[in-house]
Amino acid sequence: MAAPGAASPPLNEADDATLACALIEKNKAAPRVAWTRFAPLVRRILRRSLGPQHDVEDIVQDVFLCLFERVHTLRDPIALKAFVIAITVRTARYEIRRARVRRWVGLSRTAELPDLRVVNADTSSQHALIHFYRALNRINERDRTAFILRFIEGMEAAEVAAALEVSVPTARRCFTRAWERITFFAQRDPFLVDYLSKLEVTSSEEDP
Amino acid sequence: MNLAATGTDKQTAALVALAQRELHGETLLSDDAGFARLQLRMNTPPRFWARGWVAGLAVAGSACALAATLFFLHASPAKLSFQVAGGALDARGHVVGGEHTLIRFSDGSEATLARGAEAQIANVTERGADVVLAHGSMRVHIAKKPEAAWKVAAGPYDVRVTGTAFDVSWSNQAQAFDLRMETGAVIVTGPLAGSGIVLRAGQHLFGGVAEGRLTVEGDSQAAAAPAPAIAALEPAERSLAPGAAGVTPTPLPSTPTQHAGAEVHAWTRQVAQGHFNAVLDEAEQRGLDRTLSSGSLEELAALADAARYAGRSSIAKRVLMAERQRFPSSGPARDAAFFLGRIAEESGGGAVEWYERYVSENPRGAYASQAFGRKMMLLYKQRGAKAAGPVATEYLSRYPNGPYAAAARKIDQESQSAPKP
Repeated sequence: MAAPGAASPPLNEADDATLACALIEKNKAAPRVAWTRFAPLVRRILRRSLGPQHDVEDIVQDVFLCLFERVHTLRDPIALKAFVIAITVRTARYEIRRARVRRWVGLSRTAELPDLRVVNADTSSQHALIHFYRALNRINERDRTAFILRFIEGMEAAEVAAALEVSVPTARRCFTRAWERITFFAQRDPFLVDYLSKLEVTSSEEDP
Repeated sequence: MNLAATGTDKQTAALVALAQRELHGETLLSDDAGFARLQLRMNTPPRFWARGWVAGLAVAGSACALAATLFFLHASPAKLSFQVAGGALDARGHVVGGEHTLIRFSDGSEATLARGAEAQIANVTERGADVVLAHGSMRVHIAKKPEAAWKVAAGPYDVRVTGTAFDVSWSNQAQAFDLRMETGAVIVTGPLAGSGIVLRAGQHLFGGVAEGRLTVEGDSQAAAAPAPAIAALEPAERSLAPGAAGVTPTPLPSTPTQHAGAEVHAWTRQVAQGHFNAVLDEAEQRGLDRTLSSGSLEELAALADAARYAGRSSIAKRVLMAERQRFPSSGPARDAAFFLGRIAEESGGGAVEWYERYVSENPRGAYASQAFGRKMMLLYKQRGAKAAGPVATEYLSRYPNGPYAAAARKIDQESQSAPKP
């Protein structure tokens, strides 16, 4: 936070704690700054959590609506980013459960929307990504989220635990178990086996 | 993180890397557009986030709301009503024309059936109804109201109507359609009509499948030429229609222009509804070269979007190039440089140059920060931190909180710490 007495910087250059206070005080400029600062992070976590065939723009907005509504419950303003991540993870888990229920009750075969952002949807890597997320769909949503946060987002075990609201050993067990299961499923998906073997050949050819 | 202990772990690590590369936080929506949507939603009632009993309560509340909505919809006084004068509804809900059979709607619209004609009224709403002519002739007058939604069907033909008056007939035996406009305008769709024919006051459309063509007779009142003309549809429209081969083309000056106008809106609407392949199919049926050389800017923009979203990169590239060539000073043509960069990234080289061009033409454009960021990442991937360093510095000075800011800082640090030759 800015030192007392010092001229306060514009909100868009202020640190997270100042921004959190501005959000709590209902500063009119604060939502815009929060959006600019955190929307890419929120969108990235959601895309990685939900997969390439899920349209996340509306869900990104849900996260921010929840943030603005709940920011007054934030005890430590310095932890604004962690607070945003926690809301995002909770929202992503809710969406994963919802998609699973939709698949069960047969509302849609995949319960997934076409991804309008993918320009070249026919490439093998895009297909591999879809198959990878199909494998992820087969594990429980807590393990799946732990896997995404630890390995794809690159968070530390403690951060994963905080985002999932579990202890560090539990978080560790979740992502380790998820890794093993994903490896198991990937070995049994013919498309992924083919894709990965080609990938290995290519990378071994490129090695000096 | 050491992910690659064994061969199978290596494979999972490759999938993780793929997800990291492909699923990022950037978006084609501009930051402003996204926030504008958020602001709109901030002014609407909040969504329930709680679980458990609150969710149960919400379900019960929703059921009550649904019941209330159904009740009010059912009892809605705004829904149109109609009376049949000089005739009667038969057991199937059809009206058979007698001496002076008139169907009169509560909004002032009327349909007069000729003797022996048979029609059915369906889908009555507060804004209009479907009047289905099974056979025979009918005179229709639709009252001009804002947001009126009427549809008149005659055999396989649909006539979309706002405020207008016309005579329409359909013969099952001869498979012949005939529509004579009196006032207003309609759009006719059906066999041989491609994606729609716009008719205005004074025009007469007739023909059908048996005849193998549809003919528009008479100029619209809006047209400059006072003399009546007889014409078949122009070749492009016929090429859209199934079974239209062998028709002698005669150009009609007014109708094709009006028709093209209707099609533009249809394409934009179809793209907005996600019907990308339908737009592509229509363009290909019409002839892609012809569309690229004579289509309007709106048509090309819709077609480019459809091609990009459907993953047809080669078509998207051609359309975007045509946009830039034919409408060089337009906004979509300038944005085309960014999209060409995206396609070039997927299909080979040249992306950096396209992004540079986009930024030079649109320094404050909606995609400027993304073009900068993507250029920086490409340079980093292709030529390392040293080449990408200056772009990273400039990116940070322009967009300190942009989606690529974290990457730019890393590249900036790496380029500064790199050993000098």
